[in-house]
Amino acid sequence: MQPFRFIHAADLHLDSLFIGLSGVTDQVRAHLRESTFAALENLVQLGVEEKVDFIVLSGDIYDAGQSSLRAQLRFQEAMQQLEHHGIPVYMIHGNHDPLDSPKANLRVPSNVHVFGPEVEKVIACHRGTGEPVAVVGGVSYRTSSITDNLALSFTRDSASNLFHIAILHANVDGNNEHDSYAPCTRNDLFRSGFDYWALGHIHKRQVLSVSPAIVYPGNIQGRHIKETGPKGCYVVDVNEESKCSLTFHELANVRWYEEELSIDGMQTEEDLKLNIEELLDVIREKSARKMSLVRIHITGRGILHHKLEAGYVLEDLLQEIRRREALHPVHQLVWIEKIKVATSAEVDHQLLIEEDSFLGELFRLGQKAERDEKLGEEIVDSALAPLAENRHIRQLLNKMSHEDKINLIKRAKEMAAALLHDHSDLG
Amino acid sequence: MVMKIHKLHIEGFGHIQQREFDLDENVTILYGPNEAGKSTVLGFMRSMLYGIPSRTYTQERYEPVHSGVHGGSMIASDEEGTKWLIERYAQPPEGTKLQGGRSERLRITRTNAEGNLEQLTQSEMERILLGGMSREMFKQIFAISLTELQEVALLQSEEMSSFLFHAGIGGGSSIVHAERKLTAEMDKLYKPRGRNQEAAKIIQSIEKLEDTIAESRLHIGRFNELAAELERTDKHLAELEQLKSKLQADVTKLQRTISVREAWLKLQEVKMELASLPVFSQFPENIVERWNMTQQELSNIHLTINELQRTKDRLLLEINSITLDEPLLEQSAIIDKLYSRLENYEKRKEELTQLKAEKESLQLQLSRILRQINAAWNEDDLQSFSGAVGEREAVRRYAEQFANYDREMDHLQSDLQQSRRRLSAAEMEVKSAEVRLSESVADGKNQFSMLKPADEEQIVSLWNELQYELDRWREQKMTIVSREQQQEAEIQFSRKMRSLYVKLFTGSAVFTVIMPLLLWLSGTTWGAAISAAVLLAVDVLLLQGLKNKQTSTRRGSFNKTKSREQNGAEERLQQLLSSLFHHPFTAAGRSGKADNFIIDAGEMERELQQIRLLMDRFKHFIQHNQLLRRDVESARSRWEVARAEVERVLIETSAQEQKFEQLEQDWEAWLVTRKLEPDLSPEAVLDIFAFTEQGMDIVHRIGKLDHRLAQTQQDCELFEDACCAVLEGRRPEEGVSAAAYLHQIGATLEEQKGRKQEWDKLRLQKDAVETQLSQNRDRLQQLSSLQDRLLQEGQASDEESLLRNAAAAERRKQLEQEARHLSLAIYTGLDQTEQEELNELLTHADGDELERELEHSRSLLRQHEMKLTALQELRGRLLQERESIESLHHKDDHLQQLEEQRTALAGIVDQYAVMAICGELMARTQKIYEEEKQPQVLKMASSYFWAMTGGRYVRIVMKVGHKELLVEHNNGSMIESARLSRGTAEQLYLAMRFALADSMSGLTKLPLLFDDIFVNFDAARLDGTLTVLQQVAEMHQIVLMTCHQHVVEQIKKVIPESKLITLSS
Repeated sequence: MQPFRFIHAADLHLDSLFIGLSGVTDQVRAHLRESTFAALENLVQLGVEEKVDFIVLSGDIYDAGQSSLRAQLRFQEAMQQLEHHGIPVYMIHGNHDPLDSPKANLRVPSNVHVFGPEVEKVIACHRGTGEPVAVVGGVSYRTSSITDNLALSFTRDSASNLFHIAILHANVDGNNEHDSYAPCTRNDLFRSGFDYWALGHIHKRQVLSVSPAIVYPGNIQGRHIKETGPKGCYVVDVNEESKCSLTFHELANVRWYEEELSIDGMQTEEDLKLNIEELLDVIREKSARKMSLVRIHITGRGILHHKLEAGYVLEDLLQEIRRREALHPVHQLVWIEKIKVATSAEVDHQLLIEEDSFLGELFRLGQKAERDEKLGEEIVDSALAPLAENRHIRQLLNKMSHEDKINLIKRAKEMAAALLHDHSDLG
Repeated sequence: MVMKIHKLHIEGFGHIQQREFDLDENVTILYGPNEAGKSTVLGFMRSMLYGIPSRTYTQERYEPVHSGVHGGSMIASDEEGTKWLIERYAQPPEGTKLQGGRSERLRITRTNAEGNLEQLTQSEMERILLGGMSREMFKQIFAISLTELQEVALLQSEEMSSFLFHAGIGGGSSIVHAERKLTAEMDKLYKPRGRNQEAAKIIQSIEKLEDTIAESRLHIGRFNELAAELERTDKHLAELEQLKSKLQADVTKLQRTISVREAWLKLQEVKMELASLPVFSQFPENIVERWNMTQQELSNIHLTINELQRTKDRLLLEINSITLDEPLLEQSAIIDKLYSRLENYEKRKEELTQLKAEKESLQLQLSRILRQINAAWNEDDLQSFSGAVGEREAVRRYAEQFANYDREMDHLQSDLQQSRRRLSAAEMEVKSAEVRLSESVADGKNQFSMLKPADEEQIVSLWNELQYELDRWREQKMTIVSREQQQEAEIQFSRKMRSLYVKLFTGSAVFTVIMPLLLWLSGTTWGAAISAAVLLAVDVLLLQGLKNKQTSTRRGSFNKTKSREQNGAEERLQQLLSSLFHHPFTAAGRSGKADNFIIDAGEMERELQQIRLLMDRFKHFIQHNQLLRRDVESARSRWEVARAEVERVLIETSAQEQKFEQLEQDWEAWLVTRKLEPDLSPEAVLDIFAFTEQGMDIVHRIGKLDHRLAQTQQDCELFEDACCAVLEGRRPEEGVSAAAYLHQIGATLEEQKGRKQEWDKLRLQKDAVETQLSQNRDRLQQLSSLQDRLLQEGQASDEESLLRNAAAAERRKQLEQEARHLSLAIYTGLDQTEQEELNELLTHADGDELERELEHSRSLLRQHEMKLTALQELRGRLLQERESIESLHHKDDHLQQLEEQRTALAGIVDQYAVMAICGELMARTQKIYEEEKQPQVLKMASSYFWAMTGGRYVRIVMKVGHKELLVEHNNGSMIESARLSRGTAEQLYLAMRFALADSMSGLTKLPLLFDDIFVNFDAARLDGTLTVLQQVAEMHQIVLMTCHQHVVEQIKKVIPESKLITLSS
């Protein structure tokens, strides 16, 4: 069989939002908004440069829910470029862009094959020789929520000895971080007889199996703190013996990081600032001409704790660092998404909890609330009752989990300690 | 320790002035009737601690009755025993310098543990001294009058509850602070229905963004609608376009048909006419014109020929009328040449006369010059006297030689004079030298006259001998000496001898000099030489003798015994001396005592000394003479030289004169050979050279003039000969010069030339006319044959039929061309079927019909075009809308902004939530405190109340939720405080205050100040209360004020250690 090469990408989520950012400058926002498209352009360029025979896209090209006309226009543009270079594209629709979602009426370029709601199979050819090299099977989501096991519908053409590729948007083995659409098991895939399962839906890059290859390339651009690290696609080389080798290529234009910084041993806010800036420089180095977004968890136990917990020290610090950071060219910029404070006071909580004092009483109450779900809920609900009056905030509150609430209680305790501690210092 | 007030000093407060109170005891009673000032003292204490109330609270301010100083001071001690001095005035006494504003002057001084004083502020005092107790709280709990006691509101106040329940962490105020801070922060972030909080702002922008987004969600539908509509429009457009082009074609066709209709009709006409005309094949072109042209030309030629014939005849006549002088004309060239040279000839003639005159004047000049040189000179002489450079050189040489001679002679003359001067000078010198010598010799003779020998040599030799003898003599003497006298004698002797020798030697020396000199002077050189030699020998001998004498004398002195020998020597000496000198010049010598002489050696030596001096002088004299002699010698030789010089000069002078003679002769010879005066000097001859040069110059110029004269003459003659040669046969009559005649002939010749020209011209004209004639005749021939050919071509017999035929052919040609043009105009661009269609249409429809049809088609077309434009506009609008939607989406980042705003909101909610929960936790903890701690206070209050009421009431209870107090009667019934009797209620409140004071005073035990609060108590209850009070007094300082004697007594009974201060009204 003739060796060939193709690209497998999934979950482009074009024009989808960056979650969890606030206080962003216009410049940064513009760059972020462009980043998914830039990643798509990188994909096209990669296809051209690597001289691939075709490209496989495993669903979730864009978020229909956001009804971004731009996403569709830009996608069409990219496909037209590939058309110009004569690179065929085999794509399916996933839960975010099902067939029944509102779509702009755009011409589908001739090189693009979109699979319908039933599994179908087409022949992919070698671009140089025009010789058939692979059977590509795929299926699109009819609607956003598909709970059938679509994998079962894939069966190998027993007559053909070509390489078999299946394109499927599905949650294999029930990853509970993602919605369980088109659920199936690894064994279902093994049984089908296909050589390469080009999967989409799970945004974390992973190779579930080597032979047959079962691959999630992950999404091409991280959009929130849970999508850290390099994001991109696989270039798959299939040799004469139908063995494939995968090479990962980063496409993302913005990279996410989650870092930890301990205040142990720091004396002043200035120390903290210097440490953060140092951290940012390390990230800048790592990202190599890409914008970076970073969440910093400040941990440890030290005298800075009270300053961070009470008042606007952290907010001011963040603003100052962001302001200075914004002076960097956009592709070297490191934007702090958030600074999460998880520090502790120097006070020993255990001692405090046994103390016969107001604060001790408060901590005892807090501990009780953390353990007693009902009490905890009651405290939080009554405290947040004024917030619930607002529609928008109510929405936010409704999303809050019990864990979130416990976390809030913990922080409230710290705050009380800080407040009362400060005050007793004065008194 | 407890806080204690030790001393009050009221300077002016209410009606109290300058009063001091000592409150050292734990319990102090201030007793006095009404208006004694008890309440004033209470007010004073409050004011000292918390400030004098402002004028608003007149009642509590206690302005002094007679104005003046308002305020005073207080001494207190805190828990640690530190002393505090508080001075406070609303109106300070004169001279105090306290800090403070208009309303109050205050100084708080603390004496700390080290005994140092320090000043503190009011708030520091409140914090440290009063344990943070607020003014209100102090007034409510610690410094109460009946009024405060009865106020129940106290127990419900927030502050009170804070104090009540939160004492656990160092004063309730921190919790209150924390709560306030939280509330403030939370209010900044969010308030239900607030509009300016951060959350509200974000929510506003969220809502705005949501609206925008909702709007843009509609866009995708619109986009698709637009796409569909566009497609429809495009299709419609295409259809219309097709229809329009068909209509356009119809219109075009009809328009064409109408436009060609005229032409088409014309074409039909032409075709008909053509059919009626005869057909010539190959009818010649332009035949009529050609015929006409030949005809015209023929008549022209006939006319020309006649004209030419007449001209020819006239010319012949004119030619014959002209006569010519042929021979003259033949010579015309030569005559012209002569004529041109005529002017030149006349100039020559004039020049000739001028030259002659010039020559004469030059000859005159020449003869004058010749005269100047020499009267005898002629031109030949001049010629022969060549002015060559050689000649000049010779003359110059002569002149130079003469000059040389003169110079030489002058020179010699001066030499001669000089030499002569030198000669006479030399002569003078010689004479003076000779005189000096002779003077010296004479002098010498005088001086040395005592010397015997005249010969100098002799003198010298004698002297030498003498000296020798002397020496010997001395020697002898020396050898003999053995005694002093002898020796002395010897010395004496030797001295004598020596002087003798000296004298001898001197004399001889003088002679040695003088003698030869004299001899030499007298001319006998040899004699002089010999005498000199002899004298010298004598001198030497004498000298020797002198020496010998000396030695011998010495020897002699040694050999005394040999005196004989000595005597012999002395004798010899004597002889020598006498031979040497004419006469002894010593005493010894003159006396002639030879014996004595020998004996007296000293004398001898003295003599000898003198002789030696004489001899020295003599020698000197001889030397001097010799020098003088040499002078004479040299002067003489110089004189000789000078004389020789004079002679030489004289000889040279004569030689020069001889040379001069010779030169003179040569010069004269030179002059004569050149025929010049012999007495001329060379300078004059040089002048003559100048004259000869001038003469020669003139001679040359004359020669040149001669030459030119000859030439000019020759030219004139040549010209005249040429004239004659030409005019041969026409010799002019005598008297007329060749030139004048030449003028005459010239004129005739000009006239003849004119005639000749005329004649030539006419001849030429005649020839031309003849040529033209023959040409015209040839042309005539050609034309008639051409006409014949034309008739033949035109298929005509004569001119008339030719013209007819030609007209018919022409018309046919015209018609054919027209038909061609018309069909071109009508049918161009049409294919066969279209042409037929067109013919059909034209054949069957007339003009009006066609017009109507065209109008119809046009209106249809217009309608379609309008529809088309409308559609295109619609399409444009659709495209624009689609584009605007696209661009809107390209720029759109509302969703991202919304996300950001939501994140920001979440952040605020998060902050708010933490704070809210914090607040909640604090509130709940407070509640717990209320539930747990309240019973503590109430328990204590209950026990106090129990004691006060003598066990009637057993418990005080506070209901959770509302803060009303209940009391439990010992019969078990619960009674609300409001329903208690006044006294009992007051006891309840007092009990509560005692309890509160205890529980609150976790930090500071403040004094309790009570102003007559027991008025409503019965004796038993008072007793009970006082018992409680005694108990309380262990923890607090207590000051009681009362106006009741029985109360005072009662207290004294219960608390005997209490101090009583009585105030009088």
